[in-house]
Amino acid sequence: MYRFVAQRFVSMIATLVAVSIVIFSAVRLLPGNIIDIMFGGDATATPAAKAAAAHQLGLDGSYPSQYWRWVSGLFHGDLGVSLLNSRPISETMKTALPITIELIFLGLLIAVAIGIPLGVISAVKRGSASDYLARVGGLIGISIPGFWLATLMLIFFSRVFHWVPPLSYVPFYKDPVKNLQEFFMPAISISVFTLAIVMRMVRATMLEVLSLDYVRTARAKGVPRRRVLRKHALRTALIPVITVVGFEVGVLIGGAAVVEIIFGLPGVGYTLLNAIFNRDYPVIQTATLIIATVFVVANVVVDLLYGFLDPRISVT
Amino acid sequence: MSAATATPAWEAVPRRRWIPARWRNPIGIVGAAIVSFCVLTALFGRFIWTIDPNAPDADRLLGPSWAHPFGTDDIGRDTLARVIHGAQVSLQVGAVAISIALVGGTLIGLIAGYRGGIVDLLLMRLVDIMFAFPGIVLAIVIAGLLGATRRNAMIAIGIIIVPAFARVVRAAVLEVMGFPFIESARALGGGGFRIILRHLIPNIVAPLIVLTTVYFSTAILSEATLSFLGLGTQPPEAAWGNMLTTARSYIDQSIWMSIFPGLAIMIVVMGFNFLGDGLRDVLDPRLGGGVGDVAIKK
Amino acid sequence: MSPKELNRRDLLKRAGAIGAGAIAAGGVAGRAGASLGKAAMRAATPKRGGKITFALEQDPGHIAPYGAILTITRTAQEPMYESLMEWDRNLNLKPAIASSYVIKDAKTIDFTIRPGIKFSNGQPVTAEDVKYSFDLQLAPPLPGSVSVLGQVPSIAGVEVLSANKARMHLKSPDARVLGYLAWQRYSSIIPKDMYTSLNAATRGIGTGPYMLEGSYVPNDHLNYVRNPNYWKKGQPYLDAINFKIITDEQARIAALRAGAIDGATVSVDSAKALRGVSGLKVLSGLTAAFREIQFTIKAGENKPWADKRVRQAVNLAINRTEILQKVYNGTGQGSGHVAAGYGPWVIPPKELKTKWEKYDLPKAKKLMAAAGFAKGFDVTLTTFSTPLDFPAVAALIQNQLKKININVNIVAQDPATFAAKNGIGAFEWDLTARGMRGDVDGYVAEFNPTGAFGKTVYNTWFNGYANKEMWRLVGNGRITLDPKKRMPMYQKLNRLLMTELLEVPLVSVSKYQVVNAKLQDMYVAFTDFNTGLRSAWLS
Repeated sequence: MYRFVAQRFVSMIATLVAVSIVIFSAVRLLPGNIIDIMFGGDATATPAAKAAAAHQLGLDGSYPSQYWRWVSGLFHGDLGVSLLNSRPISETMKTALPITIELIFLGLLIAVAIGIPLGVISAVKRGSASDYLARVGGLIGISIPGFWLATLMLIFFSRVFHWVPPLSYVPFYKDPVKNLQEFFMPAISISVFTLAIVMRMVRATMLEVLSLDYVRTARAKGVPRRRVLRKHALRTALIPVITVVGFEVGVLIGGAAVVEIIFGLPGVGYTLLNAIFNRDYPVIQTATLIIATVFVVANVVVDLLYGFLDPRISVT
Repeated sequence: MSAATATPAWEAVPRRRWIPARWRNPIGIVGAAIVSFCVLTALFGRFIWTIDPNAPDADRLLGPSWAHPFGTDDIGRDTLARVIHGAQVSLQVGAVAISIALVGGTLIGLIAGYRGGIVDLLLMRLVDIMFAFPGIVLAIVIAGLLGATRRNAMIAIGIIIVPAFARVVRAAVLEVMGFPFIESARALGGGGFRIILRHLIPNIVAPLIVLTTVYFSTAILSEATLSFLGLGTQPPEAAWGNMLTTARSYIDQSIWMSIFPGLAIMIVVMGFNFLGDGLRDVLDPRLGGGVGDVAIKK
Repeated sequence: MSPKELNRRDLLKRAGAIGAGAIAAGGVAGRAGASLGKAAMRAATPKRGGKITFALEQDPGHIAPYGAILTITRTAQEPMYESLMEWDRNLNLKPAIASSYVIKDAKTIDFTIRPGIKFSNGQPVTAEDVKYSFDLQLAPPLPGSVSVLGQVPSIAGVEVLSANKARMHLKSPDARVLGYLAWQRYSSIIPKDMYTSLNAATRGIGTGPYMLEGSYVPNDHLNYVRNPNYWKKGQPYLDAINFKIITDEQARIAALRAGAIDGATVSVDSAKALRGVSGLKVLSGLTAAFREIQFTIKAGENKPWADKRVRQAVNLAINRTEILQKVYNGTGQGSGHVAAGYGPWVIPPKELKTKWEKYDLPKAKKLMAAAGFAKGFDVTLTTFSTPLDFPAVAALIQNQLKKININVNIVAQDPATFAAKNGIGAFEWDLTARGMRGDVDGYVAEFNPTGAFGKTVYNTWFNGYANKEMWRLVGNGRITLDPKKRMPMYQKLNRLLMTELLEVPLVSVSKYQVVNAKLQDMYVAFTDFNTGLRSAWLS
């Protein structure tokens, strides 16, 4: 067991290192240099002035030395400094990360809380109209663009209820009501896709489990349906769902980035997108690395949970 | 009639696989119909509805009417014409992106599976890295850094879909290589790439078709998201995503601008998803249920 | 004689330079009131007290006084930072921190600091502070950017003559200096060593009517309270101004409707929608951000528009009324190369409309034929992808130029890419905008290959074009200090530019702000800042 954990941990670190190298190189090798952009529109751009600016921003020196400066900084908790406004990125991330995490958490919560029961009902009532509806509904659910749903919800609430979400971010511990008011629309928008996937997955595995011999035997013996469901079927059926959830965190992160922009919540996705438009290298690098870390960690946790919960699965 | 036979995948006994099941798969048929309609619209729509999507000739912000069934936009261009043009854009981006993913993924899967060893390890590590980025975020970063154009959006979307194809191809290659007679042929020194390929192809066609259909919807959704964020097709050219961006500023004046492009995205994506679901039931029940799902470990 | 002119004469008297004519009137002087909207007629005496919340539509990034790239950065710090001179509402030059100045010679100006003026922390303002401030202006430390130095005129440095007298040395005669100071955007005066005693990115100490309470919280807010040491007696009227950063327009509108904020900038369509709402009023005014088409005329390329007749045809084939109607909901007006509303330095609007920017398709076609391009040609027009009115204007131009057979291919780029490419001349036609300038020279410097700006820009944009008279007018205008001699040069230059059309100015757009109906004396500032807030009051 410990060997498995250690293996996973090492592989996680290796992936993250590789990710850091890739993103670092990508921002520097691809077109659009921030110095050019700073001087592009207006000024008297003598080469000396540009070199001064490059030095001011720490963009001189060889790539390996810049990389090392960045990475060694990360270990000291120094996430670098934004090129655009010299603000330490760690400060920006202190507010941004909780926003994105809360969004993902709420999205996942909604998806699981509604998706699992729906999937179970659909599997149990297989062949009926509600099952069919659920199946079609699931397919529709994975087809709705999250950002469109978000816009439609905004239109609906502002036109029909004359209500818009509160203006600026308020952390949950400071004012839970206001916080949930801000987050419920974006959370619902990003949850729909995952909800549909969870529902389909639960349905699929439930069907599989329900048709297994030992379940059929229990039913034949007269064990009440609900007990069969709860004790045997559900537990087994949920295990693959956890795997899917791990993958879905990635989708949720992506969805979160987009709805952050629509609702003006300054989370990691919002920060990343602005950094891309401003060619703000350090922020792009760090934000991408953070997103990758969140995703990788979530997957490792899921893997471990999976191995832990299902004794049938050998941990290789 | 429909539901029971339309879900053979999870029965313990694989019952109907080919023709009979297909005809009893209404979801797949609906999907096929929608996709065909979309393709036809993209190809021929502008010859039927001939208004120029770029010409701001009408009054601004009109609601639906006979002259403008989808209304007009913020400077008086006909929304229906723009939605039709958007269909062209979406399908083109989807097709190119999928082709990139197909070619790239197949190459990587083939090389990794065939070569094995270090090459396999490195390539799969690369694939894992790409999986480490949530798809749309990676597409945003790639498209953003390459430069915000439609061409770069195609590349970015193609890249993020490559891992899915690579994994499937590699798995199929490994399976074929494990066939007893292949192993013996190789041991005897006679089996080579060509034999593997010959046995690989029938094994791989079905999953690839399903994957292509299923990920086409991902590609279209990604294109819409990228152009919505300003990273794909740029205004004033009409793309469903960037039409929704403009529409956000005019929610008070015209909700119609927000409705039709989004509806178009949803319907087309739905079409591909339905089609993919139907095809999957028919062609390859092993692939599990749901777009983007990881294959169930059996 | 109007109050405004009295003030100027007062200034001249004190400077002892009446009749010498040697005033570097870099600012926009004269009766610019008419073109800038209603004059400030107070219906009642200002009431003291009250608090307002005003929305900022963009995050300023930081509030350091020097090297700020974004306009909004200045807007966010405006309540607390001032400079030696200021503009009044009609862009007339007024003394501020400096109570007077004397032009010693073409390269030296002596400023006298207003007696008794203090920073918000009670510290008196001295020439040492002025010197420190100018040293930093010329080499802006982080988070400022050195890239703004192109806006700074040829100031060599400031010398301390006494506790309240500072001498400014110029590298060469430069008529732009006073306008640069009045603009205040890059020339705030701060206490000596302020950068070492606090984090200038999020805090600050200045002489303005308000002082910052606490720190600037990025992406969220900054709060100002009354500065008890402000030098204008009786002001400011409000107790506090809170800036809230609300980037989403819909959120700003919702906040206005709900009364959660007392003012915000909105789009023209939104302003029209909010017009009838009780408790709110709509303010509008011109700003310096006019849209225009830039051509590149590079040596050896021989593109169709190297021929003046083609450029004139383009100008005649563009229907500015349609652009204003469709993109700006009928608001705005035409502009020359100097932004419409920039005081007396412009071509009068009526003449502009009837003579220089008249829509005349038949004449355009004739000119194209005469130049040999009756069949037209293809061209790529690059523009910004945001803000969204740029692609919209481009779409209209594309549609309009079809009629003279010019096939326009539109390529929209994100602002960063666009700026980079524009700077190095990597475009055929650009649809872009200009902004505020401290001095009129800022609008024409690109038409002369000498001078810091012209050297880089002219040679990348126009190295295939030569016009000695144009160069002469620009060059001399920059170093002529007497506004009486300067004015006719620019009037001639304006008309020459509208004939040669190296750039085709399109339209000047109005900016709209919706505010609490009780907020008085607020106006839309031509500079695009929120200067009105400094002297506004609640009834």
